[in-house]
Amino acid sequence: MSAELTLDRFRRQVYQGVGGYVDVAAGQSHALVSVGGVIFRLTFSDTEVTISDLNPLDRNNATAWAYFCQAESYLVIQNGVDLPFIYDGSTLRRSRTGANNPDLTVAQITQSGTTATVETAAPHPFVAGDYIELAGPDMPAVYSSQFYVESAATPTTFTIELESSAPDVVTGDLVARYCPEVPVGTIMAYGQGRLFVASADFTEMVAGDLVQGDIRNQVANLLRFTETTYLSEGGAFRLPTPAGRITGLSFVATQDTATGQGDLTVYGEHGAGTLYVSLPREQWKDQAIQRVLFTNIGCTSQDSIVDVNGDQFFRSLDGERSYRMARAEFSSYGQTPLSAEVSRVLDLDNPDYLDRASGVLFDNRLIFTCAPRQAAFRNEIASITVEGLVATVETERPHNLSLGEQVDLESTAYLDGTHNVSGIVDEVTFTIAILAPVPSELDPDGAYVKSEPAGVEFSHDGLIALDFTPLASMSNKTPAAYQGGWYGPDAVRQVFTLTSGRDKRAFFIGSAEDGSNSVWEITQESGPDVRANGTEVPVPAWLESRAFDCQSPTSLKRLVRGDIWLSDLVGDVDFRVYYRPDQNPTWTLWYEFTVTGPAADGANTDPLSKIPVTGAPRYRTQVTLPPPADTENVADGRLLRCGFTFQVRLEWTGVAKVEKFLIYANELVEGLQMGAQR
Amino acid sequence: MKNDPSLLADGFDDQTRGVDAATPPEILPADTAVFAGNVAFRGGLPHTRPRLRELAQNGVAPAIPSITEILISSLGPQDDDLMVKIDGVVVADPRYNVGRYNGEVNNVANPGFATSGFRVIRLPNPIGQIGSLVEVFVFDGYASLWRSSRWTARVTFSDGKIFLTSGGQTRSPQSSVWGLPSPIPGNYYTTQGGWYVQYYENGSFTIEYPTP
Repeated sequence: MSAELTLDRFRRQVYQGVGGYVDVAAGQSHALVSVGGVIFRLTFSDTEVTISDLNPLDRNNATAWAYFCQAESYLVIQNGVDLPFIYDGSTLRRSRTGANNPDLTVAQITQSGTTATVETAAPHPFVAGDYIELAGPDMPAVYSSQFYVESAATPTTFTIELESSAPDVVTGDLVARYCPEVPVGTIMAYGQGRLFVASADFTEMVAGDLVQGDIRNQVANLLRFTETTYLSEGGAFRLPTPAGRITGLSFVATQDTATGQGDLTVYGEHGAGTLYVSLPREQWKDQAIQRVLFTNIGCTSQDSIVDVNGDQFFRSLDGERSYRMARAEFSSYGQTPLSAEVSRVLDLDNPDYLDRASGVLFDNRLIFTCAPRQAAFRNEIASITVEGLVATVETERPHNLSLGEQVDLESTAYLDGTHNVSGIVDEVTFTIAILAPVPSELDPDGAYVKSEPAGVEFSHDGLIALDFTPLASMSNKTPAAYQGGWYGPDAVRQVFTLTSGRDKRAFFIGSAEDGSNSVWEITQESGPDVRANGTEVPVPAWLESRAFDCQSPTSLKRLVRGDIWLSDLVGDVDFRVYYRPDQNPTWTLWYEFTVTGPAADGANTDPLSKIPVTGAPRYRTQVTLPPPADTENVADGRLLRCGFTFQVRLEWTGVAKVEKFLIYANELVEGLQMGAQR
Repeated sequence: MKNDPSLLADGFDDQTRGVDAATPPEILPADTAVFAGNVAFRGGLPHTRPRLRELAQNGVAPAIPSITEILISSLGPQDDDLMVKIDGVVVADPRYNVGRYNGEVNNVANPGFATSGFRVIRLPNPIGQIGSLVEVFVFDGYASLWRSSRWTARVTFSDGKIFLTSGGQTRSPQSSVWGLPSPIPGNYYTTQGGWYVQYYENGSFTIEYPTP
């Protein structure tokens, strides 16, 4: 397979999720992305991302959503269907559980001193250092335990070390297998030294073994799930039924504790609970470690949970919420989200799609997705060739079809409708039997496979930014400020951050106009957006002001002028100013102008300034807006520029800062005939 | 400049508190806008949000996992040792060292031809890849009889995955085929091994990548 194929797969297949991997020792990080069942590693430079295919021979389900969780040096990838992948920073392997951990029949065990040699009836997969368990009805107690494989000199023998005497030879109904590792599941969280995994149906959750709970296995011990099975303290946890399915697992940062982590918060669709998992596991069954946290506040998505200092923000059905605020409100009657300021956007979010919401903390801003949308998965047809009464259909993306399955074709000219799959050639090619002869070569332009299983792609139209910087000033603390919506050239599938040493960078996987996957960085720089090919894309910005009443809200006024002060102008910037009187729903264009000119009006001579000496941004003071046109307002018969209050909408395309904006109005004298004034 | 005192004025400069679309615009504080798109308010003055930069994508051809070890072991007595070819290339042949467990971990001396113990070949980082054909032979040197047994094989990949298989057949002692050339070259015994050398096919397998 070529590099081009790797890229093509990444761009064109169904996006399924992203997880960051941090190599703390090396001070480096990269991301793993699941697309169409392929696990891609994304390594970032300043302007490029290098994409490699990590599982070319062992794919996952092509459409199931993927969940990621880094636990120490391991990144576990789940999708609720396939065996989990475990990534150690360089390679992927499947978790040794379920179908990947079958019982192996043991032919006999012979003992010599403290060493026992286990002979298996068929080749075993064990190598020195593996942690295995012996079991079976005829297994003596001394062997019914867990052991490290000391050596595996042949494919059918391995040795273990015994701590107590054992029979010389043991035969009978005996089996050997790996100690079970991470089970198939979905949402995960790592904290208090354990990996927690929600089940594939999101109804319950299990806890893994304690990291470094075994002196020999050290960190890798966290991948084992033996205590769940073998200790009486094991078993699964469930949320109270009204809380619904599990939607998020997370630890809230807690000050002045040994681990810096508090209880495990288990979010549900309509509630949340906590688990006091720092308690020794032996006591879990005796102590009331599970407590209700919220009874009617839920979380919609694991990836929306963002730690912000000692608080945690998350997306709920009615907006963005915070753990601390929700707790504080628990004892009161009202419970409202923290995002009323941006409810104009969030209220339109389709709740069915909020399970893909994501957020990050970057540059002291909480940035989270908004306006989700989903589209039917459309798998375009690359070619259709017909031979006799068999048509061979090649698709652009893996078709996920099986023999005998029904498939709907669309826009094929001759083959529209439902057909039975008569053969599978490969992952992108299948055949159908047709009833009547058609041309041997059909133009595939515009044709697509309509019936794709679970064929849904999603994206978000934009991001919402909440700036915590107003909180940062020592002298004047003000609340965090919503910045409104941020919209880029591509839609947003998911946002994520990566931390490498001192650097933290924010990215999102984008969805281009043609539905392909793109990779974007959210920078801290000022400037136009930049496409991968270097093309600059001017940013369309807009702001709607409060309603200006000129300190006289009950007097009728006529808008006569406006002034705007601008700075930090980069390149040509187009401005359009709209206004609307009172509650008029329609914006009326007032004035438009373009700021052009040389890149810099003058050199910056401030030696301490970070602004480059050449090409410094320009400014314009007091650009005057003329009186608006005399257009009649059909609502009240007055001129549109007459009203009691005026709102202004500034639109500009490019990089600019608005220093000040003023409107000027004449107060109108109203006579007895109200409305006569124009 | 001083404006006409009959003019009423209103507007904004400081917009520190960002946007608030939940409060009616008529009663919003002066430092708050109703809503904005692609705007940041950090510092108090509204300005174009930070740049978004699309990253150029560089693809890397997938790295197919390599084979880190092949371990083949006879399951019963055989006479003499294992010989293995991968894709037609001999990778383990005891003919120059008849009488030793060639390739075995400890390389201990072979106590006799009709060995009843294991014959083991361990090949670290061998040639071959997924799809390669591994052929197993019984090497017989300096004896009048040969025999074979079933064997097992374990192929370990660089990503930790393990392919397990078995093959071969159990054959009781059979007459060897005399392989002594005629005339015998002068350096025959120092370069070609024992008195007579013969290989007997005993199965093969194709290396597969295991999927659970």
